[in-house]
Amino acid sequence: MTTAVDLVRDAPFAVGGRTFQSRLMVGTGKYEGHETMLRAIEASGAEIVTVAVRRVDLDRSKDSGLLHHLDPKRFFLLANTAGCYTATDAMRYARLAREAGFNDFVKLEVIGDEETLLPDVRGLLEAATVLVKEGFKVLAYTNEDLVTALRLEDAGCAAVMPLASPIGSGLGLLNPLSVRTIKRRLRVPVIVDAGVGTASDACLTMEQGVDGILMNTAIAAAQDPVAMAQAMRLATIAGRAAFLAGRMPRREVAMPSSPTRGMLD
Amino acid sequence: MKDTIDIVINGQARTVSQGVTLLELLAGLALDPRTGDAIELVHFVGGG
Repeated sequence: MTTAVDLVRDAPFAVGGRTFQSRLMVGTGKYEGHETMLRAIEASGAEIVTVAVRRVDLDRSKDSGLLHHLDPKRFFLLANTAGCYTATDAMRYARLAREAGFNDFVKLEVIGDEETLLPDVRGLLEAATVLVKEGFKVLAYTNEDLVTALRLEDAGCAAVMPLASPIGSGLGLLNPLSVRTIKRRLRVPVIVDAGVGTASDACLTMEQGVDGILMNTAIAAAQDPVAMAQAMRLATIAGRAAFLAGRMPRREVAMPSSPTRGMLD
Repeated sequence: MKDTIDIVINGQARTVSQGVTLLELLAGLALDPRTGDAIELVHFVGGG
């Protein structure tokens, strides 16, 4: 069946030498069960799926590992360094993920503040610089600061990931201008990561022209995660399509859509 | 049954005997666990 969605003319989403059809990336955290998670990921249409690296619980049940449920041949697993507060820790987690995983991509997070989970940009730049030299494709989670984004690009990051709003906050895109500026100034892909709450947030974010969007809580914590995943898929496509279409100019006064001539006397 | 198994250690393929113990494996890699090295077993869990 041909739908309007199929008619959107767009190049594939390319990052770190790989190409993907979906510009929506999703996380795997906070789901009540693996079955809901899998159905939500399916409904989102995402190809890139983020995972965290943690110690094996030695008393675990046999099928508790995520890879027991998530086929790494089907999804591109992007390991994160979530929970790391120093460059040293983040680099350690990245290296462990590469050894345990399937690719040399890492979603690099170096958190600087427990309450806001905002990034420690100094630690982030330090870890990004080292990991790039070690051959990693670094996707750096950062704030919406242009200068930091430029430094991350200079450090060789494969993508820069400014936040829409704090992780897990669901507040949506708080600073469209900053995100747009980062997109305008960087050559590497810009993926907005964190803070999306509902579909309109995803749409508005994609309308800024960014290359992609990554979310977890907005889907996992929805009352119906599978339905929200589908909404996010459509919103991401709609936002991208609207960006490519080019919006009309904003006007401060009204302009009639219907002819003003030919009115009855 | 083969008396060896192929495993990947730190990204490198190695062939070891079926009944190898962890201590023997570490010794074969010139790692001495008596010096107090810690071994971390990690896996992937849900995350954003």
